Amino acid sequence: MDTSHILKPTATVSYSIFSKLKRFLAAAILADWVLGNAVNVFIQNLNQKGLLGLGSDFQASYMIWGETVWLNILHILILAFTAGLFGFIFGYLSRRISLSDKIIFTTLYVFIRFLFLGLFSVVIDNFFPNYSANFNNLISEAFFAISSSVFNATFVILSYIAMFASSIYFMKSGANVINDPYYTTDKSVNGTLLDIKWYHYFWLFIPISFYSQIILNLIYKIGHTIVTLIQNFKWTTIFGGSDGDKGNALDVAWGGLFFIVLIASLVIYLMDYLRKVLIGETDQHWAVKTLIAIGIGLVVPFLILWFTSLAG
Amino acid sequence: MGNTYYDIFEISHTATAEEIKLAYRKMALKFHPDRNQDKEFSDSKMKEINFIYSILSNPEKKKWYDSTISFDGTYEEKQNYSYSYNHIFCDELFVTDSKGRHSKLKVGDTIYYLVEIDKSIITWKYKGKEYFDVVVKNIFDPECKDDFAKAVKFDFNKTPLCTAHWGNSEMIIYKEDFESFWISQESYSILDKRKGLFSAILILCLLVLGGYYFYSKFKPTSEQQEFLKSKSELNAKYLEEEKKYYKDEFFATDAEISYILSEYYTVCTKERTKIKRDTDISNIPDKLGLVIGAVSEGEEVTVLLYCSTLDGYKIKYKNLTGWVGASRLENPVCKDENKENE
Repeated sequence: MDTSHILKPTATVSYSIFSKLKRFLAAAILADWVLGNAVNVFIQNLNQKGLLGLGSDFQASYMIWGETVWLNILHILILAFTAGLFGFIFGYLSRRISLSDKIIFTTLYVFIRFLFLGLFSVVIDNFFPNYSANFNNLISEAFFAISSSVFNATFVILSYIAMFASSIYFMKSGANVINDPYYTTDKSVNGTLLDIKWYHYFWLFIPISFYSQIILNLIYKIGHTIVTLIQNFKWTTIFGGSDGDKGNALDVAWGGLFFIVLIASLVIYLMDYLRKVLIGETDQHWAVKTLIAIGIGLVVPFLILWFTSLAG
Repeated sequence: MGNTYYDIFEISHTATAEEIKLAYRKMALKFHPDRNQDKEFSDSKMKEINFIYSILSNPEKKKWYDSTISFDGTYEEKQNYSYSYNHIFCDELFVTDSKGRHSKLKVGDTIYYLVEIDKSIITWKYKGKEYFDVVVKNIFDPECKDDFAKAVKFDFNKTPLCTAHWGNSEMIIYKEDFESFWISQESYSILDKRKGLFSAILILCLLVLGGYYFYSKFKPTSEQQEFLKSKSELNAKYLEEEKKYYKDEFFATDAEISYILSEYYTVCTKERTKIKRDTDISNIPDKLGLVIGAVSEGEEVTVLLYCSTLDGYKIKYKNLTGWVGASRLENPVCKDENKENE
């Protein structure tokens, strides 16, 4: 339906502040704690394999990732991606976003840690005065570490700008998707996300964050295989010469990629099937549905985690 | 409103055509202008009853109407009619499109709606053209409503032209000021931006205040600053020496040094061992690393570093340094050099 020639509707959704906060929390939890955290865990795993060189005590939640520029740029990209995800989900759930909502909720999202830190410091000052000095010193040191280095301060400021811009930009996209007349998902039943009722997400975060690891692994393995292929390609064979002895690394890379593609395809299929089961598209007894949900949502991730290195 | 047409007619939704006709007659008698003192009310009610009967007496229209409501006792509205249609029983209704063209709707005309889930906006589709307007009772956020009313000089308290049913929702339609409802996206954006600007200024003030709070609360004192500065300078100096040592003696990269410093890699006492079988040398102790060379079976290598978590050794063979798995080495030994020195 082409509505471009028509004046746009003027109404805004009359959500109460409580409803808006509920949507904010849902979007923040899903984007930051579930999907963003999956990325962080993946980064920490890469670091534990010796790839990032950030030391074994590195945490992905640190404001600064080492002393190298490219890792801090990667950090900013991840933060912007997570903030964009938050913006998209918030826009999608809210359906209509005014400019003031965009600014208010993005600020809340970006600075929520400072808000908690402030509240925490007030609580400590008032109820645990013995620990107050230690706590204040700890924070002072962190502030000093950031403010005393131009490199650190620049990347901290850049990361906040990136988060702001990304979140505000993608809020509109989320609202556009749900308001697209041809997009029918989530329009028939209230309180759904991808047609799945909201309360299912209380347990679905387990398979979502776990399977996200596998998808991230797939992305990494693709990159790894391409680099290995370029690095170990038997150029001499093109000209009919000897093929040397560089076969092993390439075979391992291909093998790894093949395996992860297989598992990732299976995971995507399983998640899609789980969604169908949860939204009632499959015609099964409730007991069977429960078993399938537990199997796909909890047992399979546990088995993969226990017996393979695919999720790490 | 919460009533279906069946409720208004006081019949069950399973009523037969005969029962519907009977109910219609009963209602018509009840609200007939000759039997009521309030002529205006009975006129309006009669129009409504006639309209409802025109729907319920037509099997096709009745079938559609039944599909838009549920009969489970709750009258919970079915909301899956993205492109459903409804009927309206206003006397006459004018709508204006974006190009200023007027169309007149007649009683009983079929109007197509695109209704969004929140029901805040309805697209009217009439005679192939689309019209946007805002007609649902709870359309506005109270704040927006005031802004909007001000912008279009519209009084929401005036008496509406008529009401219409959509599922079990009630719509209020204003006739006279229909055109007033039109407001361009541009105008709306101006209203929105004004509010957005206000929010931005408010947020900025809060951030400045919050920043000042953090600054005053956690600002290190001059002694603390001096201490932290000297501490970091001392650390930096010590670190530089240590890093240089690992680089020169163990061919450690910057990344490896960070793992050595966090005690993830152990610095070995450079014991010598042999390669069990032809093996690739990688840039990290994990198989996700990239191959940087190969060593043949039986060659003697020096063990430089060890990663116990991944069970990998960093070895040196001629000018080549890199990582191999423990299984590729013959009885590899890594004595912790730091402990040995102690």
